[in-house]
Amino acid sequence: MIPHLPGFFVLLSILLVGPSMPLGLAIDAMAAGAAVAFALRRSFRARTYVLLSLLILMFCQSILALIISFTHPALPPPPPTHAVSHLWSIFFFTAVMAVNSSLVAIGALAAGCAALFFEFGKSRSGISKNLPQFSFEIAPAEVQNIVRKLSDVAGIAPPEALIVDSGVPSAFTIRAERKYSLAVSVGLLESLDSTEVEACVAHEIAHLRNKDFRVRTMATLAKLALFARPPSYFLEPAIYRAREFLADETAARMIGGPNALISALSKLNESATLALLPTSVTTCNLTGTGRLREFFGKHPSLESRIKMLREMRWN
Amino acid sequence: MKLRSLRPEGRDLKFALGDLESAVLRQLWQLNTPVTVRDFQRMISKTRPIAVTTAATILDRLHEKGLVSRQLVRVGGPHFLYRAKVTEQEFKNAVVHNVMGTLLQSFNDVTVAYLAEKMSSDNPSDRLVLSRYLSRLKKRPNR
Repeated sequence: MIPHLPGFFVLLSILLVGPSMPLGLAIDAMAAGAAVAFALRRSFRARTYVLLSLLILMFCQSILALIISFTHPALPPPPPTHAVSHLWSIFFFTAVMAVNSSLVAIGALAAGCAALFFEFGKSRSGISKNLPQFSFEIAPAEVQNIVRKLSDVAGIAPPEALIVDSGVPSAFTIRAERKYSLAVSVGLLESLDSTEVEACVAHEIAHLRNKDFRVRTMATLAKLALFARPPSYFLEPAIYRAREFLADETAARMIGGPNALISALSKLNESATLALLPTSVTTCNLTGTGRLREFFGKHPSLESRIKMLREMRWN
Repeated sequence: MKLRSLRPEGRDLKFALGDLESAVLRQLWQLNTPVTVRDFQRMISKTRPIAVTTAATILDRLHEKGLVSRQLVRVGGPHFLYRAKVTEQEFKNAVVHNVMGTLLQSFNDVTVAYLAEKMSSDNPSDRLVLSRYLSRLKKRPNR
């Protein structure tokens, strides 16, 4: 793979510049640029790794700045420019430092609380507590078989297969009671062919295989910790979208070609603007909508996913 | 029955429902037996070509609104059997009750005066209906 140049420079500059806060803001601007650049390119696995390490490095840099602001409250100020007096620049530098590091502290605290909340609250309680608007039941043998077969192909422990009592065609994976469950809506089973249903299940299994719950949790916690740094608001959804493309790619390989998935997504595209299953932070859904989704959405548009699958090199 | 977001510019069923929802509900009223989504899509596609996923989504939405009832059948792959829960008359009654109830509650005197005025001037035969209705009200003991 050819190294992606803007991403490479952003990484390098973060490593070199480290905890200096005013330069940190410049890094933020570059990271935002990188997020946009990555949003327009496709090499999904590499893309998520770079984006995620960007987020984590931003976090480490902020923590370093926090530590330094405690241990060295009066850092040497940056050289004064002709317009700014020396005294003013000292004051400004310390103020930025203090404000920024306290925001980082608040963010890190919030992320820690969220991590505890999900680990000990959400993921321990049952599905019906996570998604109270639905009722679930054990899936019939055909669906069970598809799930078991595809889990074998992916080399993961099969998730619990469930049916959701909803007419909206959709499928999602949820982590509840410390285990994964894969739910398929009745609407999906009654409106798609069996190969298309298999493709949708494969997409969800691919999420599990690619450990997307872990990736997403890391991205979201990093965003929460960096709530005061604007690029995190681009980076986090960019990671989510890249994982969706990656799940499509993995699914296509698992079922021996992209055609069934293309036809399933095209059918879902007909109805996706009308209604979606309500989502929860603990679920990986098949589809999503939203305005400005190429920048802030957590799901790429179905059109772009179909386009990606059509262009996918398949051998 | 949950009636939300009424559209004053919409005519007929579209006053209370979306375009597709109205078409789907109208088609359901023409059927006497419960239908599967696939059968329903085949029927409605003769007049209005929509995808099966769209039909499923719209039926789910009508179910959410309480206009349609459904039954989960597990034999032969899980699927729903949909049927209309309200008749056309019940639906229209509910819409009128909803709108007029709100108007009478919020702007009582204006609404009553408007109705009396409008009915007697627009359609003279309505005047007869109105007076008959009023005399029937008069006979009723005052609460």
